[in-house]
Amino acid sequence: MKRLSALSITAVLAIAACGGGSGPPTQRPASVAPPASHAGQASQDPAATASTAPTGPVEITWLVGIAEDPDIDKQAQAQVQEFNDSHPNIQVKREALDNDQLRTILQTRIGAGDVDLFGGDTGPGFGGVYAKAGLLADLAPAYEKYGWETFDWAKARCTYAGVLSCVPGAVEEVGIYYNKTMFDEKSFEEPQTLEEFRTIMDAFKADGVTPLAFGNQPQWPAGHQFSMTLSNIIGREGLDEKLYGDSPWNDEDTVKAIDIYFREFQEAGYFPRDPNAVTYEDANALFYAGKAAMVPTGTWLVAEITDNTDFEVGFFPFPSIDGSKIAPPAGLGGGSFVAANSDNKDAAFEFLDWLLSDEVTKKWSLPVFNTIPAQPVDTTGVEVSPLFQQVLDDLAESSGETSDFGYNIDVLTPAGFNEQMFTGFQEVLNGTITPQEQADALQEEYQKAKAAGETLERP
Amino acid sequence: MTAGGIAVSRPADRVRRRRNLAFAVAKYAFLGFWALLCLLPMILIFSTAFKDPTIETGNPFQLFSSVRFENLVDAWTLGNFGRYFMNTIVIMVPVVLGVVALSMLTGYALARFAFPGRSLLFFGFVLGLMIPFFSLMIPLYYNLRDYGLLDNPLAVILPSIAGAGGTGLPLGIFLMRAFFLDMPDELADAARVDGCDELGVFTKVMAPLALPGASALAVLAFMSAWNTFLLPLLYLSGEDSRTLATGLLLFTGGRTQELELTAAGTLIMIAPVVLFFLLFQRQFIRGLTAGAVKG
Amino acid sequence: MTGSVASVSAGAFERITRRRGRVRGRRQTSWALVALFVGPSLALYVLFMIVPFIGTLQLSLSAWDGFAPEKTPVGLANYQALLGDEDFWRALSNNVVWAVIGTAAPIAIGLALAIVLWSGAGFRTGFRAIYFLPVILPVVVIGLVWGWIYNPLFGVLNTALEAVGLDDWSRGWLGDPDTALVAVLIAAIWSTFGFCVVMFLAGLQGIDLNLVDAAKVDGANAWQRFRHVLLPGIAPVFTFVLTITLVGAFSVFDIVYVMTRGGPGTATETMAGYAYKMAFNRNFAGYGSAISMVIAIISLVLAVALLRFRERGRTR
Repeated sequence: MKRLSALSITAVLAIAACGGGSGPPTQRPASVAPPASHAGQASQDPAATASTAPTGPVEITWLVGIAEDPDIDKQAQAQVQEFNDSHPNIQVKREALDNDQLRTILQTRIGAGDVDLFGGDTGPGFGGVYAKAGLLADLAPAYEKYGWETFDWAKARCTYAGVLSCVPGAVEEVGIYYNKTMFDEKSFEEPQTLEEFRTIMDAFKADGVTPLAFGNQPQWPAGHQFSMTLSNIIGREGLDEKLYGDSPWNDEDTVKAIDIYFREFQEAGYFPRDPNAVTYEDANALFYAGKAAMVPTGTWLVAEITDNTDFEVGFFPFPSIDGSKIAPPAGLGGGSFVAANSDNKDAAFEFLDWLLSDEVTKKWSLPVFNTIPAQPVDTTGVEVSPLFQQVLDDLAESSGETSDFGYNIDVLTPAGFNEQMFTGFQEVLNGTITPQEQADALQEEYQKAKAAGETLERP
Repeated sequence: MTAGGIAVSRPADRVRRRRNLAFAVAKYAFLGFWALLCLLPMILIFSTAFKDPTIETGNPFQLFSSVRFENLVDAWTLGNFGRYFMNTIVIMVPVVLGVVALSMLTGYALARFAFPGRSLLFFGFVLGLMIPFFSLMIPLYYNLRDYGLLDNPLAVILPSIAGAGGTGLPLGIFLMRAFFLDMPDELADAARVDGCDELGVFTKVMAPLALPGASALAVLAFMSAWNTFLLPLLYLSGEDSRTLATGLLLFTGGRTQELELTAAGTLIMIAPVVLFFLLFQRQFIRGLTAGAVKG
Repeated sequence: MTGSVASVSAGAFERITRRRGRVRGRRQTSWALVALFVGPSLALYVLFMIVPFIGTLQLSLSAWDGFAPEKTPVGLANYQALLGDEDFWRALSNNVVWAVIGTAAPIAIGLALAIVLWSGAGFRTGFRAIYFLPVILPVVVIGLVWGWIYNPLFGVLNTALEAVGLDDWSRGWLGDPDTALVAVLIAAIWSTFGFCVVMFLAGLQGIDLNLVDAAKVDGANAWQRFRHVLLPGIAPVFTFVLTITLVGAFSVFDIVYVMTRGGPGTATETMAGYAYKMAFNRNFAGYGSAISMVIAIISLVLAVALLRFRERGRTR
């Protein structure tokens, strides 16, 4: 009988984690209002609200994904408090929720107009869906008014049908963290090739140490791992061909990318036993406790890793596969959206401007949250951990958007494709399906989504 | 039986006695095995709630290896449980009162009034037991918005009474109708002879007699209101108005590595319910099994 | 299923069949009084249950992404799509497994324990309370604590297996497609069998002991006494418990979601979980609604069928 539904438990900061926005071909929403009309409507709204200056303090509700580390989430709350204290006219109410719940709640709440500002990934599965439904405010006037210096490539990710609809969040990269002490004991260097990588993992395995703490219980981590191997094998141009062109997802390269990580590594015993049963947090904890030599995940975890480890940690991109160019997945870790039906858009813009300001970047984003804004940053005088410094050096200059980097795939692909990644990679790990079968299924989903107009257009 | 008795007993008696003993041992071993199975996970929560930080000890589940009461205090303050406690009570009290009062009224009417459409109405209410909540949750959101109730505790209270969140009117009416059906007609007739009108028959005679049933229902409604979390999560979303169940979910969600705090928060959440159950076990069981005895 | 919901009285259940009770022949109660007694309940029930349920029914007949201002009517297209949806059938088959094991196991365990308790055991109330404790726990807590038990890295189960030398048996219980569904089921059975104990015990306590003695005198063995005296005695409770667990089996959602999210792959996906995924992860609110309507229909058909079955058994 009825029983109240328990929602998810695993909190994940990686905004890339949740898919959304497509569906079975049999059930296309037959009519979606033309984006242009929404664009027009959205662009009028800010002007309308601008004319009525707020009297008394305005309260804005901000829905975001919760930080995995409670301490860091507390800091995020403190950051908002600082804004509220210094802006008596605006009170920001930050509601931090598990990402799965966030999705569910947004879907039910956003239409009612009681959310002003919310976080989410910028891909077609999330931002794209909201934009299509006309739920996002046009931010172009705010960009203009406040002179935000967001990188053009990041702005492009926030633009749906020509309307600039979000403020990019942090720039992120996916790679592999390693325990420097353990590496030093064995005189290992950061591996440059897959062969070196295997040698290192074999050595740790022989010592009874888990080489690579990969936990795939929540399903989304597999998408990131796939992004690493595929980005290296086919590079950015190859990925562009798959995302925007006609290159299929079941070609030899893709199968190879799947095979290396999800069959070969699994069979070689590089992961904790039964990675499908290991949560993301448990996998990370293996690394913190020195029971695993490496953990494959993204730079969003830098602050937590620094917090939880008492040994030195380094970071390297997935090594070269058969002479391939190293191209770690990088890109936007989500963005902030303003609801089209918010009555307090101006206040939301002001808050966003505060978040993007140099002062806040230097005081909070870099040193506390270890996030890299998608705009030019001045890091002078900011004290950061060596690990974050390494990531900064690696990422900040190029801002993650040159041909040296690949993509984190799940923020660029539609929901049906992501769903197939999530369930399918678990099955490859289990040996229930082959890498080829998974690649075929991915291709099928991508074709479906393409036919339904859900895939991205070439920027 | 005395030792002397055994000494003089005949061999057949001894065999029977030994068989009885073996039977008793097997019986209690069987009962005990399942009892242990029920208790172990509870003990696990209890033990873990008092442990030193498990991330440091690396051995989260060795039972009672350390005793640290600060966990409960930490969980209470970090999880903001004091506030959530109050919020939960603000919702729970009206739900329990509402479910009990309305179920008594309607259950009584469906059991003892004569009017056309009575069985149809009863079936209509019972249908509510078959509807899973999430098949209501999206439309209900828009309904609540149209009623202007969003972000008001009533957005949780009223659907809970109606039965969207567990024990509500469908179950309550079902139960109370059964209670009233069981009552002898003579009582009501006697009251009528004494000059009570129908309302008086209910308030002065029948309702007081149904109090055991009502208290059983109250216990069930309490449990359900205490544990409900999706309703408040969706319709009463402000952080200030979170309930314990919602709070616990968010508290544990961010704390997968701090098992001792997770366990402490869980203990805070389930302790009142377990205590309540142990204290009111009789009513509780009666509520569950009302009428079953007579089959 | 929780005690709170699963707790419909078996006696009351029986009484559904007594449609026209003892009020027959009495003068009709005044409408004013009926309105006073029934009105408020009906109003709440209609506003907060029936209206949204009709909303879901409408949604199931339309294509809607959960956001767009307009919902496009598509007739029965969603239901037709279900017929050809492999994932849906996979989920349905998991529900069937759940219905068989998740019903048989708690009933068997519950019946055995209830009979032992009833036939005479000390601490009867104590045992009953202990068996019932898991039933009152919120699902989140059940998922949490069984997650600890099944945890592949530091879980209680693997540690115990390794301690007794059964290292080969230890595994990631929830991550292995061969064990995941059963592992979740065991947690569910753990949280329901106490309910069966309590219900069956109450049913047994209503049996006339003279009947049992008479059967004994007539030379009936234990099985015959069970079959011909106990079973008929608890038949109403039995039907009731069966209905509750069966109906629950087809709408199971939360415990699976908390423990595995339907994984690994789709090994533990249920209809309700699939409906949730469709509505909220894939933004197919219409399709998701159609699945939840299917669940409601199955529940209703099962409940009515069992009731009918009971009614027939009783008239014979």
